[in-house]
Amino acid sequence: MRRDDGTFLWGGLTAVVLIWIVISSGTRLCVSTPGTSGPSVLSLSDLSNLKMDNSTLNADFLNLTYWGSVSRAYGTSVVQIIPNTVIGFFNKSAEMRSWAFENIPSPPPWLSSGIVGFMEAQLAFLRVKALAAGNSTLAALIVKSYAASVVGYPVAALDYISMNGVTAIKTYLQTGNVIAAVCATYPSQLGALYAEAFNSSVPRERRAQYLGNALAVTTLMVVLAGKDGFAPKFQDALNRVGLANAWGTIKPYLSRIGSAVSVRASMLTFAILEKVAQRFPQDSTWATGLTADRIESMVEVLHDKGVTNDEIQNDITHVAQAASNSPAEDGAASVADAISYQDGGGITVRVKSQNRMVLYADENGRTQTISAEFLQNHVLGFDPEKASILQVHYKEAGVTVYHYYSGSSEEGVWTPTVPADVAKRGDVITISIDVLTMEDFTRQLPKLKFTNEYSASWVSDRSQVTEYTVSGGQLKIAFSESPLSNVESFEVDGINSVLGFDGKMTHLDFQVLDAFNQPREMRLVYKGYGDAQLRISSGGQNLEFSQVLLVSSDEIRLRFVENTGGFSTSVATIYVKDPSTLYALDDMHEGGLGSKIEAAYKGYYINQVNLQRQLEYDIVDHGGVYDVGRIGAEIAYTIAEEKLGLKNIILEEPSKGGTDLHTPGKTVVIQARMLTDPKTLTPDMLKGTIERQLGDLLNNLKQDKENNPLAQKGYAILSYLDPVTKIIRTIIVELHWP
Amino acid sequence: MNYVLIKRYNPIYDFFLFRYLKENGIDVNENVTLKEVERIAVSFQNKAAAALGQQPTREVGLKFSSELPQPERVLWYYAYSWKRQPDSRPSTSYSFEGIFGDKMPSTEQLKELEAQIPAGRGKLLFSKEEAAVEIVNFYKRYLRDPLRKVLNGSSIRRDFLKYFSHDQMNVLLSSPLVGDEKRDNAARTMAREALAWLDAMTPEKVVQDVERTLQEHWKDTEHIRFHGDEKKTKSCDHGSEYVEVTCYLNVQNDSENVSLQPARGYRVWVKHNWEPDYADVIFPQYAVRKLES
Repeated sequence: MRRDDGTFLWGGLTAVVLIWIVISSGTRLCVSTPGTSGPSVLSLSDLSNLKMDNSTLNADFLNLTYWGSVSRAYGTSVVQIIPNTVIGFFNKSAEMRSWAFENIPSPPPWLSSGIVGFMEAQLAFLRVKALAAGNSTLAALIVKSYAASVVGYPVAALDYISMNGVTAIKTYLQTGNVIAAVCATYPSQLGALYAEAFNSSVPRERRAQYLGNALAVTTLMVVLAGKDGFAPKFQDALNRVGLANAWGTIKPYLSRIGSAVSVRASMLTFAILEKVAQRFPQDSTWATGLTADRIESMVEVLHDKGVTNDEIQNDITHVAQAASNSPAEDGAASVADAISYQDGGGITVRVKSQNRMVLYADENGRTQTISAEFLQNHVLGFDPEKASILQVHYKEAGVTVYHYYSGSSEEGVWTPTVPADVAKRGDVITISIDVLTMEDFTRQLPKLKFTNEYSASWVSDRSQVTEYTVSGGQLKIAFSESPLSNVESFEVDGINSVLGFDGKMTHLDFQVLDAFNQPREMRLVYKGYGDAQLRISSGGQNLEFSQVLLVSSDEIRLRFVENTGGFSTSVATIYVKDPSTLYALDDMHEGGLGSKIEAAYKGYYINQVNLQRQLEYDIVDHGGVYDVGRIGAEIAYTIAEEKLGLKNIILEEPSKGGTDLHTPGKTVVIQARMLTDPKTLTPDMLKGTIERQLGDLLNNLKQDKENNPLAQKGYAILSYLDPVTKIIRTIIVELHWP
Repeated sequence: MNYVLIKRYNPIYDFFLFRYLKENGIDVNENVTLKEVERIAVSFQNKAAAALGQQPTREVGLKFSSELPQPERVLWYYAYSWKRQPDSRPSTSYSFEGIFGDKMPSTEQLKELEAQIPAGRGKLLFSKEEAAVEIVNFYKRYLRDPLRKVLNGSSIRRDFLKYFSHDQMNVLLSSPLVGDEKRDNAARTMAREALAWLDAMTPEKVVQDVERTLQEHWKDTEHIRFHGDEKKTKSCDHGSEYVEVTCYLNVQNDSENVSLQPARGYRVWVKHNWEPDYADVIFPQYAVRKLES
């Protein structure tokens, strides 16, 4: 990942170069002075005030050995500085030289002979003049005059031809960066360098090196900004080809491409930009900036992928063809992205305001986003007309994030939001994209672990997903759990699985069918990284989901401890097997009701309901209201199936409200309840308690009838635990609605 | 005729209950938390389990409750009830009666106990006027206000019958009206009538109903009929506009339990069947005692 403004890369290169100079010189080349942090840091005026009143020191200017040391330092500086300027390109590229000859009416002489030789010749000329002076003071004055010759030269010219160099150095100095403060010698500290070169307390060899470095910078300034300098000529040439306005934007790209691959690659890019500028003159700054950016993106991706420089240059040539042929101003950029994606496996993108992902943004805020066409061409299975989930692989962060594409409503472009914990505004990041499939989702989904932190009853202490398997629309989640009623592993079978997006998170929705073929909506939530969640619907009218805190099975009941908000939890139960196997019923007899009930309804009773497992005994013994209520409903289910002759009874989740049990179509509705409070079930209290509870159940049945006009029968099935005998008895009241 | 009324739910019962526990060596006070009281109850259970050579339990349950000595059983039941309805202390007559061998003390004893209650903390015996005020407040809070809210909704037909009397329910259910709109309009008409009835309710009207139903009950004993096949208990009901009186007569020991409660609205506040209903806390219920003079 890099930053978007280009400063860091070039600054880094500059620092490396300068540090290398420091190391190679073995001297205190970099001089820190108080003036380096001020806004006038690039002022060259102090060059006119160089002191040189030491006769011993001046004598060095007549010494050939001394000048030899100066020449070596001069040469080193030239070699380091030139590549970071446009001159470097001209120096290395025959094509660029041809371009210059074509577009610069009176090209400088060094363009054909080479800048290094030209600059060495300039030093040689100065050395000859100094040595020929015969007088050390005069020789020193000659050198000083040369240094002072650049006083008043416009630094902007240097900025124009340097590949963002001066601006970068200035930035470093003003921000007080240590490396910059120590090593920024070009050209702001030219005065300081010269001062050190004429400082008698500095050893002679070191002075020679300072002087060599200072003279190299001075000579370059003369070449560029002096009378008949190269900078204005170059600017004029850019103007001819339509790149003058865009130059400030595109030169950092050229620099980086040149550094990463080759000067030839940079030159090829320059030629593409020239073509783009000529084809789209009204919008050349945007079009060339976009094209440069996408070519650089391509170069960066291919380079990181290990593609050879020759191949990269070849790819740039392909972009050049598009630049010539495409009717769209982003045609060349699109081809660069296509090559980047196909050959490099990704593209770079920028993170802009509100963490929006864009391909390119200019300084005015105009952006180029990823197009649906690009996705269609390069992402297998992507359909621009259909909503889909795309998995974006963020290379630098090493994570995959699921993003939503809403289909045709995106109007041909896609601008996803990058998660703040993956990248931040200003970052340039490399991505690749795939359509997310259910197989991908389940393969990448962490294996969820659950513990019974909320001390829910009648569930295992912990459970864990061991495997997700998806095939077609069928999802199978395998679990292991700490033993509960001898169950140590179980599976949850989902049907109608489908990927979706809720506006924030990607999810895999599925339904779990219970033993009564009733579906329960469930949801796996994952964003591609971080934590995942299993959620379950409340079962009501609105499809709202709660986070599942624990999944547990006792073979008959699949139980989900769910977070219902804050620290509140509740338990949802899905029957995976017929619960009637849990109960053995005595015979059902008619009658047995008090007069109040008998007068109005037909009644039955069962004197003993036997529980088949210890677990249900435990639930009745110390279960909460919900748990005991479920036992009551399960007993009612068993009675309905075995004694009342009802078929295909559906046992509802109580949180749904309404009838507790019913037949398909709700022609028969059942209300169930179980009582265990011993004080309300004593012989003296029993009749009153039962009448009141049955009365309430019958009222509920009436409401069920009102809500389900097709209901023809209703049953109130009330079970209670006799506090003395500890036997479960059940009373059944039947209602008929003709 | 004069009556005294004894509430099913009365926080002052805790004052006597915890005093009783302390007197019997169980060191808890009225500030005890549910967790603490559960822990103590489980320890009692496990002591009984150990005596029977059985495995200890981790939660308050019914299994060993009948093995506990009375003071421990009183605390156990308090914990058991509280756990089932954790948002409200189980200060019910069921808990209170445990202090007296699971039987409500006589009126004279209650008067004596009432005299021991610190000033301002409550009472044990209530008048019919006091009961009427509480019953009116119940109707307003749990029937009138929610019904008014339901009436303001777009459709009232789901979950609304609970606000009606049995007669109203039966009228609506037997109505030949077909079609959502027609039935909804019929339900609205009935709901407005119910609302008018609730708005017209006053404590004075409730007192009149209380007196009428109790007089009806105590005018003779012939109307109290056996029920069930075993012929051990007799019962009767006396309904009125606002209140209902029920009586259960144990033939074997000739004990009579007369209770007074609102004529409708039992569990009307409950949203889901299997959640704690707090019926003993919310629904005003009184045991009624006739005073001789």
